[in-house]
Amino acid sequence: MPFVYHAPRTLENLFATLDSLEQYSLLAGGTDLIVKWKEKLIDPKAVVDINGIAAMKGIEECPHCFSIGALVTHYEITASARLRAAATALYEAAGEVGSPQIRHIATIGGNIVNASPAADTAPALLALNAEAEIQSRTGISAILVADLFTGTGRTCLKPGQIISRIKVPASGQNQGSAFVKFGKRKALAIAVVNGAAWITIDGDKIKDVRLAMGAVAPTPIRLLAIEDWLRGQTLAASTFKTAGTMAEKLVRPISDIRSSAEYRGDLARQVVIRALETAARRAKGGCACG
Amino acid sequence: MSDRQYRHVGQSPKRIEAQEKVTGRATYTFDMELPGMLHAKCLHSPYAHAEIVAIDTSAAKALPGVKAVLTGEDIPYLLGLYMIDKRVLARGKVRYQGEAVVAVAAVDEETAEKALSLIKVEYKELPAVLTIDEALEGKILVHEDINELEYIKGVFFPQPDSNIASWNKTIKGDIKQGFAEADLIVENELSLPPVGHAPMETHVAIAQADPYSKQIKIWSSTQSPFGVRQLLAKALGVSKGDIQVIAPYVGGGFGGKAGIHLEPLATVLSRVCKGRPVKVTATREEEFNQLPSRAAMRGRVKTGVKKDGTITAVEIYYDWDSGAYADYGVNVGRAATYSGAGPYEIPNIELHSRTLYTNKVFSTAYRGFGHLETHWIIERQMDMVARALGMDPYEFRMKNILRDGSVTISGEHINAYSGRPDKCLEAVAKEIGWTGYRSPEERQAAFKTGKVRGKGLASLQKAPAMPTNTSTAAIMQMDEDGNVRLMVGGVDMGQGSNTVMAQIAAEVLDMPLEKIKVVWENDTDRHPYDWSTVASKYTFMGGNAVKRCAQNLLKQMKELAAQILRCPVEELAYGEESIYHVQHSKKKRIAYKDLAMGYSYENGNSIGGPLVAHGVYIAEGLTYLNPDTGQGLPALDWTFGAHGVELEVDIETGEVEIIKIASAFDVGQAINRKLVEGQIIGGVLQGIGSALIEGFKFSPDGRLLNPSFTDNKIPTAKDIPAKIVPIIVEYPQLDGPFGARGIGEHPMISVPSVIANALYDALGIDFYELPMSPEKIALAIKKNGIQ
Repeated sequence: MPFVYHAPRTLENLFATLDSLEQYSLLAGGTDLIVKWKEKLIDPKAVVDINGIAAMKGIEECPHCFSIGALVTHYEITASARLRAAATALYEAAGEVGSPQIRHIATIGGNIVNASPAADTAPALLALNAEAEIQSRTGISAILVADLFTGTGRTCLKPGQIISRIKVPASGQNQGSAFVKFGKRKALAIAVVNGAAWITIDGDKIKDVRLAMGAVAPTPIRLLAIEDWLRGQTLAASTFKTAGTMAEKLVRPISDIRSSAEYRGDLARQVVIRALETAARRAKGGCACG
Repeated sequence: MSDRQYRHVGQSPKRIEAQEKVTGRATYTFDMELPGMLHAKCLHSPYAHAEIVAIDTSAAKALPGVKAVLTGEDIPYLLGLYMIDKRVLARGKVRYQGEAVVAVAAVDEETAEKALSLIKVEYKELPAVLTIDEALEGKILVHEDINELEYIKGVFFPQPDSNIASWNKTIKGDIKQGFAEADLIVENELSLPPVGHAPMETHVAIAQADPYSKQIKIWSSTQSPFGVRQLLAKALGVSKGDIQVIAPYVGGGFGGKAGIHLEPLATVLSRVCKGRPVKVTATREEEFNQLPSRAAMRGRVKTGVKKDGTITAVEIYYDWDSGAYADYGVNVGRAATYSGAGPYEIPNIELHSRTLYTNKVFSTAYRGFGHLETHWIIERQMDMVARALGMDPYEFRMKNILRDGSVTISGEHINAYSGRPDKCLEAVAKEIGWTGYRSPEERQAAFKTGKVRGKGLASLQKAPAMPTNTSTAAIMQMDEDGNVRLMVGGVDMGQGSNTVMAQIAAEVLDMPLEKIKVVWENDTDRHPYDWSTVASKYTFMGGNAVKRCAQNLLKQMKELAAQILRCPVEELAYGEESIYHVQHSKKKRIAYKDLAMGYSYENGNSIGGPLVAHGVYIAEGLTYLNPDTGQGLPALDWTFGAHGVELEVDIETGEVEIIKIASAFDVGQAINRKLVEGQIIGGVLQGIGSALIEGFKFSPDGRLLNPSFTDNKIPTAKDIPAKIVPIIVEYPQLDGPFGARGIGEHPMISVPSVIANALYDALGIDFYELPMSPEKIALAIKKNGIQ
């Protein structure tokens, strides 16, 4: 069906455009939008191309955190040595999205607002406690990426609101993170289960921890109960194994064409064990990327 | 092995069209646009089996830009390769979900799609035949008119009032007696799902049907331009002389582009549109869901053996869940009867192969033509029988493997030049360091590490499946500057056959390879005939035709040179692109180029004329198979092979990592070594897809659930094993060109079996169904209480 194409070059123009439209789709990388469009799952009356908006681009380093523009591509994330060192889970997750071609065009903001339960960057952002900056004509606010998702393919964004940037805390001393994914093949596969862990250690104890998982619920989820249990536990294989077993019991995945619920449960266990192991090793090693 | 030294044969020149392809300049049918061209789209059946009650196309016809809307009622033609059972568009009823019901031609694809959305089809859903057992029961018939269908008699055997499109059999010896002599009998059942070919270029055809005459011109992504011409002429009742089929560059075939597919639809649409060219391009979803796949199959096998490992009897039932139309499926079933028991000597055998109609997307040829499927059953069975005997599976295979003096199950005598399956098996066993299965204790110890390794072996064989009179031809013309333009009937769809043909021509003529110009864009109006580029037969057959063609060119040049040099032809030799007398001064040599358009003397007198040579090859020595016993000579050449694999399983996730796969094939003589290795690497990877990843999934009501790359995955570059070791074994075939045999399909055969055999070694668990996905493996590990 016919549609109107807009390409505002500033945030100001963007919000003016959005306010003037009854219904619209935002075009960033387009790797989800165009596919849905071709499959007739959507029928936008207006397409607002945001690729010209400079304020939504670039990776900036602020004290103890990174500010990543929503239009930053997955490739740009995988090319950042700083993200690799201090936001390792996100670096790893971005490298697992699609193919090189897709990673060069698909954006982090798009991956989030598409709100697929299996999105690769989502568990990484949840584990890293990333915040999304929600902007509209009336102002700017920040919420945890974890609180953004309201259902499969749904976020809490209201008409006129966009995510302009994502704030990711940088891992420091005694901290590490890791992303783990299981798919049908080794590349270009939608996750059967994915997940990420972030950990802070104090000697041989777990001081703080965050765990997140994808494709086991309608949205990416934090495993808060396991995090609570893990805090104060000793760094040991048995601890991780127990956490894995807890995850298997905690998640309620579905059976679908990609996997049975039973196998997803098994993988959930492995995701937790392997992500924790790797994150802990990185925290201990000092180098976050080892 | 061959110790002959050749200038081009056995070398590894790069593909002659490589640069054109990697720079994107090569034009495929998919890329083509013609003046005034229309685009066609199809509406597909949402049901597996339903009566078409009514179709309302009025709104679609009224849409501006729509030039034609056709339904099955508008097209009277019946199509088929062996069973004439398929309509261009469904008529009366639909037989699978995805079947094309209405077609629209419009000025662009968007308009055609919009028109489709305006068409209303009323269906009455019918109970469907969705399993092999339902098909065999025959309570519901997919083709209620099966008794009236036209088919090739004596070769295929449709059963009256049933869903059996063909029941082919091999009966040799006496299995009753064979089983009575056995010390041990082992029975197993294994199965595998349908898979898609997934060529890079989907099926696409453009047709231009002249409104003022019967002439039809077609461009198609086909492996069989002459096959399309033949089948279209038959279906439309026109002369082959009125049909021209052109195959530009083809983006992969794998068997899916043999036969006839979108060409008739494009033709009838073009006719209705007064001769405007009409292009039909399959979407990726149509590639999976409308166009044919590889059939699903269930194999039941019973093997009788003596204590020393000698096979005394084999009984096999192969039941092919072949979908709604026979297409190549019945011939796949037929090939199983003479090749489906593996490269072994079996004195007593009964092999039944039943190609069944079901209400699913139909099936066709797929790289290996039934052999990956039958070898999935047989090569698993060989391991399981060996285990039951307490014998090493390597020893068990070697005990029964075909050798000089053996007789195949169709009664063919194997001789010293038939190829060496034993040498292939020996080579791969050595390469992976095979020492027999590990013990349960060794396995138990490995489980504790979380990653377990296993090794496996599997053998294979395949001969081309083709008519006894299959033939091919080549034509050469020499240009003024001594370049040779070579035209062959075979289609190079990426396998590199044109490079191989150029090497053979250059070898015979003792010329630089660059001076052999193979003419691309096979055109049935210009190129010499070839039956079809399928079956791993083209190096053998095309190679022989090109060899003879080059010899013919040489003979013509010598005859002319004999006049000029005033000597008998027998005293002439050739080299450095010239003809010379064996004894006289080489200064008097006559360059090829000076003969190309005829030879001119100093005074202007001229003799000869433009050099045009030809060479043909027709399959020699093949016979029809006895309709009751399947006995006869169906095999032009056997290529034997074997795989050995070492893999590692993650026992928590079921993921399989292939550490090393060694694959050996007796190709007689590699013409292009790099291309042979390329076939091996590509085939092994495609086999890994069938083994671990691929497979159609259907809903309970027969809908294909994964008709796209989202959930129908094939391996990517990242799934390539750490190490693939191609081993080229060369025991020449006396009637092959320079001793060569085919290799195109073989590398993927037995890859699933070898992986399953190694999985047994690793886990002590037998897998009976494909694909062996990580999920299936992980759940089996759990079920078996391994930790």
